[in-house]
Amino acid sequence: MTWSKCSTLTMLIQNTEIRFLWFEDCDPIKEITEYRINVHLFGNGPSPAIATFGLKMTVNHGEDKG
Amino acid sequence: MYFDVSRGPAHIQTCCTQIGACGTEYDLVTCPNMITVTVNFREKGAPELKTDIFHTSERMTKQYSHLRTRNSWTSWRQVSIHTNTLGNWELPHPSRSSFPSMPNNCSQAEGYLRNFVKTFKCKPDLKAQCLEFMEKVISKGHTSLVPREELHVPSGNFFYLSHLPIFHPKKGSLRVVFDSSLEFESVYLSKSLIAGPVQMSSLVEVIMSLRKENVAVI
Repeated sequence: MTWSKCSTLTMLIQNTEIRFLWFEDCDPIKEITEYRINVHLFGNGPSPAIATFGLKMTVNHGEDKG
Repeated sequence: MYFDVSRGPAHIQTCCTQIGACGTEYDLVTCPNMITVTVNFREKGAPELKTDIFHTSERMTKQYSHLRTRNSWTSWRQVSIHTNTLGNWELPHPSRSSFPSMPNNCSQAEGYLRNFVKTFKCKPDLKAQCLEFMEKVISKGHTSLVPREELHVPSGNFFYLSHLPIFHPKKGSLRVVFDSSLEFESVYLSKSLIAGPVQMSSLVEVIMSLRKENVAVI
């Protein structure tokens, strides 16, 4: 999975929070701590559908405004 | 069609396909067209009635299972969608509602990270690029540091992903990729996600759109 290029799709945490381990302040000398993933990750099964859905939503939103 | 000759007048029900409002859904509805039956069954002797006229074919069950995934997707879609304080869309994580909560695999992720860090010693270039990438990801707000009070909560449901560096063969750039197929206690992230709807339009849908209007836009 890679990071979504578009940061407009933030992930709402419901049941399970997705985390990963990395160094504090990105400094390898410092201790390892936990980070939480805030965005939808790409490369999964439903990812293309989520991306399309987000895009459509933005278009509809823009139309309403215009 | 079903002939119920023995119990008085014949009742025939015919169905036709109808396209839903959004243009992609279709279902069977009662057909308004009339059929006149000219043969008189009573005179020639009623034909033997069969009770097992209708049966579900394999293809039908396949279509229904497809509809089921579509339903779970629709229910996911209908969950409250809102914009957060930064003005970004916020959508829920597409996890299956029937799927049990993920196990806490912190120890496993720790092991993977240790292996990852080991490669840093022999590849200093990789180390610099990885750190740069992760810094970028954090500064963009894609990930955030978990506050100290939320660390090591025994009742919390967390699933840890392992990451590995991947080189783009053409660009030569590096990106850190998360492994959602990381298995822990026979559970992995990809398994817990709902399958999105099929992106390609099916042949039936294409034919239906041709029937709907004179010109079909696919």
